[in-house]
Amino acid sequence: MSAVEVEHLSRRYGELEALADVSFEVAAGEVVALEGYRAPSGGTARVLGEEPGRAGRAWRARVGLVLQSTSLDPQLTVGEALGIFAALFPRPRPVDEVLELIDLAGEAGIRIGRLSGGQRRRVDVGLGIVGRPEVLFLDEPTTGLDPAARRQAWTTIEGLTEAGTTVLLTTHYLEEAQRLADRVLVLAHGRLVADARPGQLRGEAAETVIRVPLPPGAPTADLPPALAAGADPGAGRLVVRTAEVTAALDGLVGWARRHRVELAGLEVGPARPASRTPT
Amino acid sequence: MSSPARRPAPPRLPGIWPTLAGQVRYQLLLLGRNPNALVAGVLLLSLTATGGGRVPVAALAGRVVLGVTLIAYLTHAVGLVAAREAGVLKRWRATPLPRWAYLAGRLGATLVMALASGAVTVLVGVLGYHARVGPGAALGLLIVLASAPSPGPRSAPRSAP
Repeated sequence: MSAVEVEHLSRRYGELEALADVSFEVAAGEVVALEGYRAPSGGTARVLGEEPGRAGRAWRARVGLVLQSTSLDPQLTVGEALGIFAALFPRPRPVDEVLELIDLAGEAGIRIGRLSGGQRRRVDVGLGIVGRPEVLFLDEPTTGLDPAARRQAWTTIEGLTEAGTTVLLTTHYLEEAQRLADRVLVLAHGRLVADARPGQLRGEAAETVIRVPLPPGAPTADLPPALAAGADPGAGRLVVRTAEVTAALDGLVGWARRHRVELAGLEVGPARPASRTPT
Repeated sequence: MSSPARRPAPPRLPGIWPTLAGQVRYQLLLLGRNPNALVAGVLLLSLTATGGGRVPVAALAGRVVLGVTLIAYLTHAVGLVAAREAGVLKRWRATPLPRWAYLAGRLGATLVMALASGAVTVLVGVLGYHARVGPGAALGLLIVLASAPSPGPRSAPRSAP
């Protein structure tokens, strides 16, 4: 069984289609970064085999959540908050171990209200992992942090992944996804446009190739400059090699929507010969 | 430490009584660190009791009721709304704690505080102002306490979206 199974998620905000039939799975022990995600209104998502809205306490004890827009009681000390949360779980991590993981061992006796934003975020991550979750969700764990605090948060998350926890994190920073994730899912205009190893997304070893068949008469003149060079209306296809995959896909999908071109057969893969032949 | 292959059923969750006790302790800790309610419900009240001579039991009873009401309002109602606004409740929702257990923890802590407030007010009345408190007054105090966390202040959070 996969740790996370997502089927046909959709979400609309008026005209804007934020999620359009998005499906993916996350295997146990995998660290997956999601870019451009929105909360769905339709479709099913199962975590550890259960639908989150219906699952009970025992299930919630196996899942760790670190959300945005939550806050912690400023009157509690870091150690107290971790202890209070630990008491809710069947076999919590020892508080000292969590303090080490979030690199706040020296701040255990300090009230949360006195901590910096980055430290507070790490306490939040600590509360998410104190119950030894099998699956951990991190919703933009470093948004709003300065670069030093961000690197520190990354070190914390890397420590967790060594322990075998499945992690699903959303982020707007490609750099973050590359540093932390085994696998990166990119959503653009509501569609899952890439599912790749981080190295494939921005050329460390190789560039990435985007291939898509073009229907006859597609208005290629209007393509973004970076893509126009790769369009071959005669052969009926567009092939682009790029190191900036997210930007290229974003441009491509935007163009396709403006002109109502269906991107059926779109492929994103490493620049070396793909294992699958393009259609 | 733990390998990725974890199949066995998870161990049992902590029992509900220890969980509730933990919640009450947690809320009392918060109240102790944020003593507005205690100041308003006990200290301020004791100050209003100045003036020479003996305090009639009825006046003392009135102060107890005022103190308990202030505490119930300032700790339970205001605190709950504040926690909700700040996103503290959302943080708890992401844990195995049942929603009602959080509320029960707040109620428990409020009750303990109200009891303490009532006791201190009566004590000040008796020792400082020679109020005569009999068994009937004790019964009245119990009734007041029993009604302290009831719907009045609790309906306040409804207005939030």
